[in-house]
Amino acid sequence: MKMPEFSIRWKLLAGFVGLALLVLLVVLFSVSRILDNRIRDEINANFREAGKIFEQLQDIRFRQLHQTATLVAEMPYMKAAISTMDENTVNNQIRQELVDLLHFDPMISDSLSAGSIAAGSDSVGLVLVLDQDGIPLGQLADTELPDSSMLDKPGVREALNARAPQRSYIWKQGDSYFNVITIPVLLRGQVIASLSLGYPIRNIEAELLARLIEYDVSYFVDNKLLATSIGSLSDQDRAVLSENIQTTVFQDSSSSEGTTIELELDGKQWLLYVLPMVEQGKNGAGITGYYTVAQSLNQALAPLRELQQVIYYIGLGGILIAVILGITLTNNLTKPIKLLLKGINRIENENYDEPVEVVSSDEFGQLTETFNKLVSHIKENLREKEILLAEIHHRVKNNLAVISGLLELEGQNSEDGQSVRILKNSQMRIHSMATVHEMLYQSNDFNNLSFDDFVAKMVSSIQGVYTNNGSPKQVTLDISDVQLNVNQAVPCGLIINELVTNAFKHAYPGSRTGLINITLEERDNHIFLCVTDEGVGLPDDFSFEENKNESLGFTLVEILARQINAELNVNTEGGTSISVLFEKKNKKGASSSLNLN
Amino acid sequence: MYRLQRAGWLGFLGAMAFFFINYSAAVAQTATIQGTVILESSNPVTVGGNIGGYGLAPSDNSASSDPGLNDIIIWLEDKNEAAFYQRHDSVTKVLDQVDKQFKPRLMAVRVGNYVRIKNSDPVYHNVFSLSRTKRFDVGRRSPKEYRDVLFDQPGTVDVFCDIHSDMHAVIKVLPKQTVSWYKLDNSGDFSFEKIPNGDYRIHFFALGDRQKSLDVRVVDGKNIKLQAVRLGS
Repeated sequence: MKMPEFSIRWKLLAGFVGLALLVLLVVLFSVSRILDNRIRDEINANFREAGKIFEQLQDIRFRQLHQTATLVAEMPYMKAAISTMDENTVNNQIRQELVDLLHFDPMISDSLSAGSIAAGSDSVGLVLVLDQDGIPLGQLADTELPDSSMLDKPGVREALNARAPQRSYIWKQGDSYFNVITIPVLLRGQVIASLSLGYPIRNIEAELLARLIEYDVSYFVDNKLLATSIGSLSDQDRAVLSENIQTTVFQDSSSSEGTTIELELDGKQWLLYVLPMVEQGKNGAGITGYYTVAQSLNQALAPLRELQQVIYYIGLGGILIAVILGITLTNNLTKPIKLLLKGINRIENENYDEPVEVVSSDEFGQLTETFNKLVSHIKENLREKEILLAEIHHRVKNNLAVISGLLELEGQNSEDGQSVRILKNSQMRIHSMATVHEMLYQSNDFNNLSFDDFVAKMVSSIQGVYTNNGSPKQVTLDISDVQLNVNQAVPCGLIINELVTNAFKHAYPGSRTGLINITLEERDNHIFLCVTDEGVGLPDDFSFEENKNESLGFTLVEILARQINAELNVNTEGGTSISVLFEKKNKKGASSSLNLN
Repeated sequence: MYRLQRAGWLGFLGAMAFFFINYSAAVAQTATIQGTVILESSNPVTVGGNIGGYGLAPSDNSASSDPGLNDIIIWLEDKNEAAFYQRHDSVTKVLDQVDKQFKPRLMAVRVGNYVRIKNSDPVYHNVFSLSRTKRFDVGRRSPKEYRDVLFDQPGTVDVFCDIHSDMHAVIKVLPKQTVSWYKLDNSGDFSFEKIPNGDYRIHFFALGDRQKSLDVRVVDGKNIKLQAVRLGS
């Protein structure tokens, strides 16, 4: 036996490998989800680190401002200038001091050394000297001094009360925002003025910070998005960003800790960390400012997304392969079994002609081939058996015909009328049996024979016998197409033989002519046979039981009827009508005619 | 040389004027103006806590013990703008620097007089002023060095040292109409004697932006007793 090309083992193995692949995919996907969360956590942690950097930066800023302001305020020329109460003197002195203090905010020193201090310029810090009533005395910018008191600016009143600044405040001067501290200017322990120093909150700083901490930085000041390092931000995105920060700030105004939110900008996911720029006043007075640190999730998760994409592709491919494999494999496995089952069903229905199609080359294919071989063997054996059977039936018929011929010869040689009658009856009976066998071997089917043909043939032969020596009788046949098993056909044929013979012999005595009707039909798997004549009839109280001993014919009918479990009915009104009703059975094999069941 | 010569001329003119005033006073009646000045606290803002990271805590000189803070300069000014009482101080006034402080913290000088700015400290000083009345910068002066500065305009001069930021003095330059002036070292009585008939204004000045002026008229040589003057910021 050759090995199958693609055995069931390999198919099952392929199936399991596909399943394992799927499980692996699920695992990979879960891992990628975990990684995703991890990355988010990491970003959050980094945000908090950035928040600390901002806090430190804020602290450094505050100290730097404080130191610079103190240096400026302690300059004797500055005090002298303030003592003049002259705007120009103070303004000039401020410039002079700042030029000297080059370690002041590098941005300012740059712009100062460049020689241009544009009024309200975004690149210049804020320096403002206020007198004891908060009226401006001088400033860094060239713009005209406001002549109203600035006592209401946060931090000014404290400074004029000689209190050192504890924190910085956000001021709005012109269109610019500054992170400002205000210190007192003291002369011999007395406050002669206040000095406010602020660095501008600018875009460039946000960009510098962003470069430093490698996250995008935005400034959200006075409920506006003042600066952001996120490039290519549309107005709509700015609005979205502002709104999100606003909401966060509003919800979390009391917290000095940062808050992380997630939002979508420009079709990308962002993680945003919001933390206060300056310590918020207890009653929320003054201008609020927030740093926001942003990281594009798309960017951070890009490698993971790539991995996930690969996983998706592999998964998709795997599922596709699994589905295709599943369909083909199950088909491959079940189709030969189905075909084999059909083939077996055909064999059960005695159809040996159609071999089972071989669809696979595996063990099932081999099984099918073997099965087909077996079937063809059976088929051959069956044909041999049929030939043999036909032969036997032929021989039986011939032997019966010989016996019938012998009886006929005996009848012709006999003088005794009684003997002639007996011999004739026997001859008729044997002839009718021979006819059954004849018809069997002539037909293709040994089990069923066309009983209607048989009845017609038998009646005509009986008619031939009895018409010769008696008055003519007309026989009408009302026979439908009935197929009968040989085991029922022989007793049934003999019953008909007896009844018809009886009708010929006794129904119309003498030269009376009449009608004999034979009805044969199949109703609900039951065979109904009725032989009717309009002759002299039987006595009204006729019964088979009582007349058993008187007539061999009736005895025979009774026995035969019992053999096939038939129900006998005799009706004597207006002649004789004997009906037989039995169930049609398809008992196969050569069972004895005397023991059908 | 030129300056001395000029000073000599001014001195001669002053002497002439003095003579003239005395002469007219002998003819006309004179009066005495008396009064009391009460200096109120300048209500200084006392500084508490540490200021700044540079250790700029204020010195021990709290406002109350600050020398010169309670000095009061009182001067009588003739309302006649043409009046000319200018004369040279017999001795050049000195603004000394001792223990990194100006001494005195508040001084007055008639217009046209020199003030000798002297360094009595063992350290360098650099005295300057940005005041409109007199802008000057004597430059860095070594110990024992001095420099005379002429004050030729009446007004207030805030004097600072460019090396020591907490040094501060005020020189009050009195106008030529000044008849006479006082310096009290605290609240107290003052009197201007032999004042001829006419309209005058008395000025009071103390550190911490405490100043006041008062109009008086001398009629028929009657003495005037003023009500107590309260001087506060």
